[in-house]
Amino acid sequence: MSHKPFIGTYVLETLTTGMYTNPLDTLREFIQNAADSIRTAEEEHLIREGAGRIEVTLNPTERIVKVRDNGVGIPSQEVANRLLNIGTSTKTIEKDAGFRGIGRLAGIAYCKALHFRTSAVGENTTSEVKIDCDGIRNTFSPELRQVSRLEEAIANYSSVTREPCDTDSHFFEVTMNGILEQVPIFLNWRAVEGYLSQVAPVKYDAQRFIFATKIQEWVKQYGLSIPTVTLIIKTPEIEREVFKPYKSRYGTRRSKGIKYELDIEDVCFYPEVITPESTFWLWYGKTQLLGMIDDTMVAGLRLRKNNIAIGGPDRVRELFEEVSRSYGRFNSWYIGEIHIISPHAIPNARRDGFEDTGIWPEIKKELIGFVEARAKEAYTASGARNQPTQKVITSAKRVIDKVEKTLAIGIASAKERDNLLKQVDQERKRVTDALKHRKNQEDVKTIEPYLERLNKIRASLKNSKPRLKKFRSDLGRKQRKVISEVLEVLFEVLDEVNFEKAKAAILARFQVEESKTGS
Amino acid sequence: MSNILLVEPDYRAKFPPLGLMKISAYHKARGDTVTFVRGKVPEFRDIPWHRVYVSSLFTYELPRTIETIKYYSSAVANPHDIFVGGIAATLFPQYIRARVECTVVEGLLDKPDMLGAGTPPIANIVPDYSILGAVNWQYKPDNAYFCRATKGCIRKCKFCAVPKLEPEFDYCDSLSKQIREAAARYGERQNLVLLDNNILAASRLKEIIAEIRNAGFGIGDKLNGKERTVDFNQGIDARLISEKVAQLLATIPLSPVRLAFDYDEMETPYRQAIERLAHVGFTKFTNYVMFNFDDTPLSFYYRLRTNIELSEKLGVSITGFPMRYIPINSVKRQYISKAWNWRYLRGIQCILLATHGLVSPNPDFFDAAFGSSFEEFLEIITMPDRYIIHRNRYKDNEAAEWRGLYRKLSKAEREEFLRVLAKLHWSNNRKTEMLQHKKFRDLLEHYYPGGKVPKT
Repeated sequence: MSHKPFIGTYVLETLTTGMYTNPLDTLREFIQNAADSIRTAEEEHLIREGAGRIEVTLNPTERIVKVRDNGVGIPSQEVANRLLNIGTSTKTIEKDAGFRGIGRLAGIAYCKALHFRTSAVGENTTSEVKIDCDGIRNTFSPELRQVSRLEEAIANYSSVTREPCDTDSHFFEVTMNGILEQVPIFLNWRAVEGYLSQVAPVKYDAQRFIFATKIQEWVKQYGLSIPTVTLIIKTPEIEREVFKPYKSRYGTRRSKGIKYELDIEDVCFYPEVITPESTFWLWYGKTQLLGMIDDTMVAGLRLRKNNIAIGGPDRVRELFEEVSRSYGRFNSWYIGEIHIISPHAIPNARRDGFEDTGIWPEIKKELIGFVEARAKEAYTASGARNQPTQKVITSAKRVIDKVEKTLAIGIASAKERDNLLKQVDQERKRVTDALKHRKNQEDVKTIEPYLERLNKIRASLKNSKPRLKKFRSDLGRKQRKVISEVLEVLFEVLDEVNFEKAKAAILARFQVEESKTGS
Repeated sequence: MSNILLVEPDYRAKFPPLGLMKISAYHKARGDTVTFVRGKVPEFRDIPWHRVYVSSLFTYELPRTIETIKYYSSAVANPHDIFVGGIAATLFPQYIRARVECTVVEGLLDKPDMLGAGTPPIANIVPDYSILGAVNWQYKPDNAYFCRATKGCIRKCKFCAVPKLEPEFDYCDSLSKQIREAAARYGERQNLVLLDNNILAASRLKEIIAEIRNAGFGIGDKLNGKERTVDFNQGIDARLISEKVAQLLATIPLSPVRLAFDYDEMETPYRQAIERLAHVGFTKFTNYVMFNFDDTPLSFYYRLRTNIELSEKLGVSITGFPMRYIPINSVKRQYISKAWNWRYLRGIQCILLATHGLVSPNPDFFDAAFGSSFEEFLEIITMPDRYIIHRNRYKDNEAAEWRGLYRKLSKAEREEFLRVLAKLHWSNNRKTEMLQHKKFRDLLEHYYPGGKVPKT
């Protein structure tokens, strides 16, 4: 006699809160379903290509989140089966972004009630499925001794109703009613926009990212396109279309006190051409490689399938680490997207990576080869001798400015002067080294003047006597001397930043106006 | 598609920003998303917008407008993606251009390419009323259509900005069309506000009035059980009110009737207009009374008093609505014309504080608030702010004492005293400066007890 297994509601906990790392992943699941449905609607010519629209509406006062699309919708006969059965999606693994039929349940964990409303084209009914999430969650609360049977719980806490509507409408709408207190992030439109801009299949913002067209055209010449939807986020106060966050100019993260400006000079593609055998394609921004990009929304190459993110930059960071443990950091020196186009690469259930079966190991191998080349470039650029020209001159300019400023207001002590001399010498060495290894005449021409300026400033520094200038005329010799000595003491006991602060404050009081504004 | 941010600087605005509302309607029709905000909001500055529109209104609010433009300049890819337009931007564009990089749009949006190459004229587009709900600000009136049948004005009054804002007198889209489209798109509204500068100058006046009636604004017409009203908000020109025009106006529920009594020379046509309008049955008037231009305090008092007198004589109610003149290019509110002084203007401001700027036609109120004679009027507006504002609280003690001291001053001393008051008001060193005016010591103590500004 075979045993009829009992599947308890605890399983739901695993499928909801246990499944995703970020509560907002719930929205990604909804959007993925919406995008699949829009794709089908486009194929069936219900809407023209590109007319797909998803609206995410947040109402913080009423604690409601709604996601609505104009895709094909679900015919009323199929509604109960498709929305209340678990793990039985009708979608195809190869074609659709979501296929396991569990994603939409994630919402159960974060709201009081989950409502689905939908209508398919050609039918004059709107179906509504209501799930009482409070009720279902109670069945797997740990205080409860008795565990309910999963099917029973879902049957007990859900209902399906229908109402008439006009035949032409086709939509799917999911509403999370009563967002729970512990997940306020669902009602924070900026957080939601930031998340969706990185994850959802949205367009590049061509006004901010001038290479948007180039990427699209490059893909187009191989008969491909990047599938996109129009995604609108709405609250009672705002209405915005969500775009990918890429732009053409960034800063680097502060390194040794310096933050560099970084232009995306071009975009590069890999492989060079897309063939029918290609399993992926990617673009990345060409920069001077000045350091880690200071914008977590874009830093690091990321994986996408059907233009929906698979995991964050960490997935690609891991590939850099496979080249060498310490290379992981180099992923954030780049921006770019890796679009997996092979239907045989299957995202895992969490959608933060790919299943280690099928084609993925092969793609990964090829990606590691690509990543290795990027890591080497970044590594070379990070070395002292091969520092990018802009990095060399930014650093030299910083020291020159500092010394000029100090010379203008006067040097407090011999020690301060020696310290500055040391910094100038260090910088001269860096610049000389850089010049030695430059082959490009253009670069040499750019850098050379800075060496001259450093030499010049070194000379004036050497010849300058430790004496503060431009004291207010009402100060006597003794007073001036005391001030100078106080500064000398401060130089001894304070670190550089604090000393500069103290010196500026003291001189602001005792020097004449013009040098204050001049410095 | 683009993300558009519409910004109204957070100055006190009574009417909704119609220019921004039209821009909203235009962008929404293009499929763009539109967000409307008042003032400087950090969460809107920190995110990218494809274009930001900033409206402007009073020139004396230009400094605040500039600040708002600068505030949002980091939110666009290029500073010229910030478009600044509206009244102040039209009157004083060079003030903005000299201070901040942006695109200044002058005048009405009635020509192509004003919002960028290839953009259509949008002056006649139906304004998008739906954006107003997004901000925490109560525009008034909040349930009205805002329309206009004409633009420009046939007069060229020296004190008026209209000749510069809208140099040509011309017609807009038909009112029936404007009202019909607004109702269809944004729902029916209770009342109708017409923003025409001089609607009576229209040779098609008869047709315009008929259109108003046919749009559901005839005498006795109701919506949701309430009678509907029509407001020619910018006032009607007394000189153009013939008996025939008065009869024509009587066919629509004008409420209130607004005329202007801006200077003495207007008296004859003004009186005649009110008589004609009263004759055809109008009883409620709210009339603009300009001061601080070429007028004198005496003229101002006289014009206000005329309203009281006419109200009694004709059995109507004429509320005065004093309007303080500020030159059309002034970026400050402190302008003082030749016949006026700081204390007098301030005194009038204090009287009007309690009445939302209105002067009631009730003679008892008028005598108490403005004085029963011109001398008393001058005395009242010379008093310390709090004695004016809280008339009843102070009248028997402090104000009486003040009056005793003030009345002892000679004419020349009173003039000097007014100058001293103005000087002290702007002084950074008031307490010390007060000591220099020994002659007025006791009087000044009423204004600045112990050298400090008292609470009002």
